[in-house]
Amino acid sequence: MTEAFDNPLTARQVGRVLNFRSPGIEEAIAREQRLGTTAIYNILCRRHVAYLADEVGMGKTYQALGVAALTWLMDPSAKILIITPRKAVQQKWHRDYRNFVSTNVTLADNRLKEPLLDRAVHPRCFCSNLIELGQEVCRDPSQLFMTRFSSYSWVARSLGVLDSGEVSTGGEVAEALHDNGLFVDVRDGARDAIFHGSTEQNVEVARQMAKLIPEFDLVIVDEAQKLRNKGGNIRTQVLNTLLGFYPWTEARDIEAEYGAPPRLLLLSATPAHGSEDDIYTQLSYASKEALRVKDRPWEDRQAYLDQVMVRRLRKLAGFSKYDYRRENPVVWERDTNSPERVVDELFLAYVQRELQSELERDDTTTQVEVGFLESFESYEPSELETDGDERSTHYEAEDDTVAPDHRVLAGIAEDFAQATGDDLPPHPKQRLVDQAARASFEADEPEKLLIFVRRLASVRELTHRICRVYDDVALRRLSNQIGPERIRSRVGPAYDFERFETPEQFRVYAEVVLGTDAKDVEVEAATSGGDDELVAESRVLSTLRHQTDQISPGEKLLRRLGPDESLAPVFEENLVRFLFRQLDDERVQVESYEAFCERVCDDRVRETFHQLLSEGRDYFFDGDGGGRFTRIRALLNELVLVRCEELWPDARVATELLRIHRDIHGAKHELADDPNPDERFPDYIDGFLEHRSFWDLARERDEDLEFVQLLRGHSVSDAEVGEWLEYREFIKRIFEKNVRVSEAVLHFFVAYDRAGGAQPQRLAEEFADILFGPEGRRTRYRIEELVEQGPALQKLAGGQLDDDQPLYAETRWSDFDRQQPALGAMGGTSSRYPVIVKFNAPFFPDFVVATDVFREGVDLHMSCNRVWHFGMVSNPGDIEQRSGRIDRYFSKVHRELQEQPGSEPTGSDSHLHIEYPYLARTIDEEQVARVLERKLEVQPLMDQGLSVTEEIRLNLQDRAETTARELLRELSDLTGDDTTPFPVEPHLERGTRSGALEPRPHPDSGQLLDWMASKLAELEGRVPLTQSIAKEFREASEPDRAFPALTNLAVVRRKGRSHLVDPKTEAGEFREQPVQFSLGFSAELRMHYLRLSSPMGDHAEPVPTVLQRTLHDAYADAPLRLHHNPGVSAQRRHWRIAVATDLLLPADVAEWPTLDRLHSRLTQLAEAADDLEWRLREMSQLRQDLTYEEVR
Amino acid sequence: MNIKEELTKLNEGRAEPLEVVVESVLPGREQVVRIEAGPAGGFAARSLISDDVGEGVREDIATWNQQYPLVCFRLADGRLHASLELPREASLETKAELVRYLARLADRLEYDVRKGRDSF
Repeated sequence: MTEAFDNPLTARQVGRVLNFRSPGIEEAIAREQRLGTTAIYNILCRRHVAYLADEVGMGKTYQALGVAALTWLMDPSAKILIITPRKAVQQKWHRDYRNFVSTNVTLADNRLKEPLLDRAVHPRCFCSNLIELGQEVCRDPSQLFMTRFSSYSWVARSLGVLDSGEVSTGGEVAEALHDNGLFVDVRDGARDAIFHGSTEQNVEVARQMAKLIPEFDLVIVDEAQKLRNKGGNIRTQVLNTLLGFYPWTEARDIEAEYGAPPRLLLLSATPAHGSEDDIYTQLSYASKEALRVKDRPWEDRQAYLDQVMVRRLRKLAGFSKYDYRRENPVVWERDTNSPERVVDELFLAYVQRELQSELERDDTTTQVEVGFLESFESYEPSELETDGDERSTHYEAEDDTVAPDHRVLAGIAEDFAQATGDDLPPHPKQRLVDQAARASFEADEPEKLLIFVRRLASVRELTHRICRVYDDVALRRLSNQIGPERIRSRVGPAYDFERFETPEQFRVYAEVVLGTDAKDVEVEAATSGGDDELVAESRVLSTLRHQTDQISPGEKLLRRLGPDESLAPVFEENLVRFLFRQLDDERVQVESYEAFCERVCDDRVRETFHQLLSEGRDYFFDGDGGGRFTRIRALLNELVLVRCEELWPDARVATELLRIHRDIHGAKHELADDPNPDERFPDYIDGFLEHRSFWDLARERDEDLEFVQLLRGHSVSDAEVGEWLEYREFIKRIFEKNVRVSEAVLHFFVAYDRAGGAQPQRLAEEFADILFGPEGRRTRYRIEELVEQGPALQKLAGGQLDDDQPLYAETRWSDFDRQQPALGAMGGTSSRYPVIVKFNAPFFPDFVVATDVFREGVDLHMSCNRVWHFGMVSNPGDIEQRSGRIDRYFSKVHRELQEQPGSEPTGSDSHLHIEYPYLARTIDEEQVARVLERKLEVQPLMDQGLSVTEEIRLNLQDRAETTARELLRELSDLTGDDTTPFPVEPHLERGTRSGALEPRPHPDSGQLLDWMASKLAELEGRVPLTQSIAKEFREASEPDRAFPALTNLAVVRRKGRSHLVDPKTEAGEFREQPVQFSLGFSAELRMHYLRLSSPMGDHAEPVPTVLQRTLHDAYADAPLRLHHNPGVSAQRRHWRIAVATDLLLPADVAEWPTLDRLHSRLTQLAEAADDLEWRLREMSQLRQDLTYEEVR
Repeated sequence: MNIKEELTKLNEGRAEPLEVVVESVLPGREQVVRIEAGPAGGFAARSLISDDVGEGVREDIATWNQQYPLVCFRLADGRLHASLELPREASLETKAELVRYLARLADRLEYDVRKGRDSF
């Protein structure tokens, strides 16, 4: 049984180990989160269940992770499981956990966080199904396990052999588990037991697995309202059986029959999905009291809920949602007097009449579910046949269910086509979307909009419409910027249009500008064929960046922007210029840039440059002798930085810049003492030094811009230089990426046109002029936003890859690819994450059209403060969930509100706009009114978390008494009760509690590193070393990782790690044995260890047993072992063999190895490695020693 | 069994090599750790993972040796061992903790070996 949950904690204690503060966010929020975490932990000390039901967007995930952290701090061996609703949410937890440990856990004492490596002691384990969970729990129970609800419904299917409808025996289940590496002992009698059907089989699998996997100490359930079913379904039964929760029964003595369940932490902003009863059902998984109180009077129920539940209402910068939310109609008014709209209005009236009569003809459809008509969103009937399978018209509708008006719409569409031969007129609500899109695309400050639909086909239809609107706006803008005269002069009289009207016309112009002869270009007729594509895209943007089989006009530009092509220098900062400006006058003591260049790029730099170029021909030149200029420029930059470090060793900016440069480019070059140059490009260096890229120009522009201030970094203190340079690099990279893929590529096109070609210097100047001139306003706005929210964006886009990489180096840049004005989200999870990242970033898309697949667990708040309920939901709780996507801590509104000094939010940006588009005086308005009526009624109960109401159905005969517009006015005027429904205070402890949260004794990183440095220095006195390993160690920028050691060795740095190699081995000369030192940490032991390993070479076969035996016989008293990594070299499939040994470093420093032991182990190791290497050489002709290049 | 007391006896030369039994996570099983006094005041702890493994386990051994601070090796007769040095500088508490760690780890590796085989 876990030692956690024995004693409640005080908030002060928790504050000493966890820190919820974030830059730019008020302290009150961090306090609320700390109190919430403390309260929930304390509830779990007294009971087996707690419910954290804070309103949407208040950081329930982080508070739950806080509870998990406290659990591990009290008992590092506690086993913790998280259950999430679906894969996307599972991924979010996965990412948040990493960020949480790195940012919010302040105590690093090897219980939760490693002090040296600054990472979680408990690794994350992402389980796609329960079989994986079983395997992983058996392999390493110390992980943080993340599963999803659906896995609990399909555990038998995950086994791969069982299927519903079939019969299986206990023995078959055991064998299937066995085949999956889960070894369950099933007694003879149980082997013959027969299980019929899906439920029985699933439960049997869970029962057998439950015998194998250890009991969890804490189970966290996200979106816990999904547990509201009363135990009849497979999922609930599997959950209970596998994890040991109580089965759903009102029997009195259940606690006596079953063992204590795991601690259960439920999370939901809408705990009562339908009614208050749901809450007790969820709590009853780990509390039988819940079922007993559910029918008692409210006072009793409230008393019980007070003991298990925490629910607080969200406040952003002190404002409640009633202050900053605006609920507004977006109405399509019918206007039968307008001559332009006569056809539209007639058609609308016709459709309404047909619908009414069709729906009322059949008694069964006198009621329809809110939102479940196609005609609420479109006139086009959905295409239902996909590969012969019927599917539903709406998201979350049951399989093969079509909206009641599907048939009638299909009839109308057919009639219309026959009568007129035209396409259907657009649906008026879709025109509202067009209007919103145009307003946003024409604005200087683009506004993002999140549109929720119910109907699946609407996602495609709306994203297409938005892209078309964008194309229209973009073409007008382009034609204004380039000017009709220039267009005519370039394209000639054959294409005499004054402005671009279609993407095809733009394409022709682009062909001409970018160098293809216009005569060869066939002008395609404008087609509507593009509308059939699955992914909507702007055809204008695609023209400039889309890669196709043929060379598209823009591909040429794209290629030239590529890393080794002629346009790359536009965005490659000249670091010499940068340093000239950053190093202060006093230090540099030169008058001009030219004089500076002479000092930092002296003869030695120039000669070493040419020498290295000639030595690394394969690296710096391609097969045809063409230069790989990005690599060449990186080399020169590095040499100059090395020289600066020599000249001004105390200048942090040069040192830090060199570090970052090496992290990115990976190379490490020193200046040669006596270079032997081979001049390939005699003039190259001078051209390089003269060059001004966009960055050099940008820093001279408008200094009020935060972007420019960031580039200059004037107020950065010496201590912050490294951080500033990293952040600057991150922003530069995002910006460069976006210039290539977002609408900023159009600026680049105009610059290209004005510069009259591809000369990088001219292009950089034109581009800077546009970006900082009136035409660049939109892009400038986006960059300013980027600089402001960059740190948060870093977290969002990072955290995906290797935990050892620094954040700025591990951003998944591909997430920013394929930027379109609008993106859709409707089904599968794989493509969803990039949509989320991009929408949160201040670049394209400006519109996301989503089904309710985005209703929960997705954060879209960072750049957006406007949501449209285009397809209405039938439940006020769902409206709240949807709006919650953008109404969160750290949101755009939140940022704005923090800057509001007054008592009321002012200005559009500091409001959250929740909007309902509908058609006035139709049943569309009826349905909106009906839901809003209900929302008004239950809002107080919803705030309390006690009700969300069942789904509302729409009676076609009824008419609402109040219009939607009036109801929305009432909603906007609504003032909420500020009382916290279920406060934390009753669960908080006062006074001093036990000291269990105090740091455990452990070597801190400074102590460990000092010890290492001193031991290495002493070691050098005993072992003849030609290179100071202690010095190398002290100077390593990441001394916590591998560091070099021992004799006559070159050091190769790659991806932040140091590798050792003897440069002489290639020449076959005698060499000494290298030994590599690294520090590791064992999560199990919670102990650091020093690993010594000596590489022996590559071998085509696995290590022969005879070597193994030799090692044990000859070095019986030293725990040495052979260490071989199969297949490290993908081409050669060789084994890399090393001898290795570990020296443990327990918590008590006095127990660390003495110098004698370190020395004897080192010599034993080197001797054994030498010895075995000699045998290996004798055994096989294939054996090769490691060469310089191989280690690189 | 009090591992600390036993280790003290062993240290003082009052006991033969010692066998410590630690309960397994797998139902109904236990893990035995054999501890011998090593040279110069240290101890060597060893646990038998399996008495008959094939050559195929070698890749696993490589992975384990990479992953954990222990020495895992297969003898010519197919016996697979995990061993750990109990450093002489370490206190008795640390040594006892290391023994328990070795048992846990051996237990887990034994599970992995079973998983990799066709029958058990």
